[in-house]
Amino acid sequence: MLIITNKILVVLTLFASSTLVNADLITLEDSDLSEVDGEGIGLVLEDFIYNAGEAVNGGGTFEINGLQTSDDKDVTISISQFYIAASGSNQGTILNPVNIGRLNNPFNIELRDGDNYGVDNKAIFEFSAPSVANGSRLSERPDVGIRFDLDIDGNPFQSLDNHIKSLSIDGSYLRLWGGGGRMEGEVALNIYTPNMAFFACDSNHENCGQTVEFRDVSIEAKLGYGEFQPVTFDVSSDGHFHFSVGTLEGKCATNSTGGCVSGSDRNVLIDFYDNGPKTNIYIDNVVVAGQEFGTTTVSNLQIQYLDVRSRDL
Amino acid sequence: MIKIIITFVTLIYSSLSMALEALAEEEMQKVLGQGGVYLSGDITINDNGGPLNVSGATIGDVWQKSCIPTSTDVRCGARIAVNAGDGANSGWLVLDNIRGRFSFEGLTLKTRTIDSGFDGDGVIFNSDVLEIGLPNTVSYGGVSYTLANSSEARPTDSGFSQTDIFSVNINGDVSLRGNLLLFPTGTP
Repeated sequence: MLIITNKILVVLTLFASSTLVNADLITLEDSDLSEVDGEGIGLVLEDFIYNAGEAVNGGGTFEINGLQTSDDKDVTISISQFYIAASGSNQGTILNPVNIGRLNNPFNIELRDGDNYGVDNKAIFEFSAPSVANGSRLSERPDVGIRFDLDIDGNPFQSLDNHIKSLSIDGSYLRLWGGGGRMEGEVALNIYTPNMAFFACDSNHENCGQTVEFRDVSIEAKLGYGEFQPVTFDVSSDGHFHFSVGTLEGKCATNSTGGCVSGSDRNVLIDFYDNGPKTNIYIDNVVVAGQEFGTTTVSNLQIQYLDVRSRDL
Repeated sequence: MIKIIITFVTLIYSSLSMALEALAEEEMQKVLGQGGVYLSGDITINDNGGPLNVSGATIGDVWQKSCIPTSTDVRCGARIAVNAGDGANSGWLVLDNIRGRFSFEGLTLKTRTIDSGFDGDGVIFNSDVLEIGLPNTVSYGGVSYTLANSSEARPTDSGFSQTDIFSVNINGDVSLRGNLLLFPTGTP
């Protein structure tokens, strides 16, 4: 309540002062909103279980359709089970409640001052997961999994299982702001899990095949760097989606050999390479059918330009 | 209401025995609030469709599309269209053909003081939260929606074209247990 009252007071004061000075209502500028300070709403899920699908709760229908095979046969994905529950679920068979988020480190919805995030004079909407420091403990990391059947042209074809143990997305965030008549943003997605398993069974969920396991997975992916390199998502006028990560081309004047001439533009680029968004992936062991393939590492992957568009087939 | 009555009764009682007296903090502490709100719901959205009208036209077959549950007519079901902007060249991200019945029993809403539990976090937190108690079961009756990209906000607009990405159909029960806790963060 105190926060709400404070915000109301700030807004009232803004209005009051503008009334005194200009004797007329004026619109709140981005620069006014950018002075909003970081007070937000914390979210914690207590004793949480989510369990849905055709093989649980006495049956029913849970289908995703609209997909087609390359020879134009309809594909229906029937979800047998989709669960979020406490770790130790034994692939969704034992569902116990779990706390997601911590009271002193919750999921958070906030308005941030863009000046601190490379977006001058604008307010940023942020939805963030708990921070990595002092983050979710093992008891606060849920098991998440999905089992689904593929029906092709009305015939049950195959059952696929995906199970993630003790999932944590600490440190992930989504930031959005308005830029030049469109929505811009930056995103971080962190995934930490001791075990991610995939395997296939026949349409009766029997005779399951070998398991592909990813053990001790850490994925830390970041896209977008303020207004310097925004991430945009929009739909084109012909009804296709368009996802892009801004290009670095033309961000500095180049000399005869193609390098950046020194100056402030080059310093911004140096800052981008030193402190900009990077993606790191570490998988301790990839195990296929009990055979260990060893460690996989991707580090310091930086995206200079990404442009994804959908097309009709 | 109970608070008002209790306050009133206390006032009457004290005025009988002696002159009016200020209520002390300790006495106010004894006043109890109500336990919160218990909600059950049954929501049906566009169960039998509901064609989108062309602006101004109220005659002809505009209102008469067949919107039985199996109909795929783009005018059936509720539609949410969002434009993320990029000038004249932009289109719409659409949640289309939203229909069906959701019902739940026992969504609760109350405030609660947390000063214990949560593996030791509760003692440090020691503050009030808004608790939304999730219903144990949500029943879906023929719920469906389609995610799509569209050139126009409405299917009746000229030049309309739409690419459906996928559709979801749910019919049955979903377990949704636990509490969603909401509270202010930061340093106000």
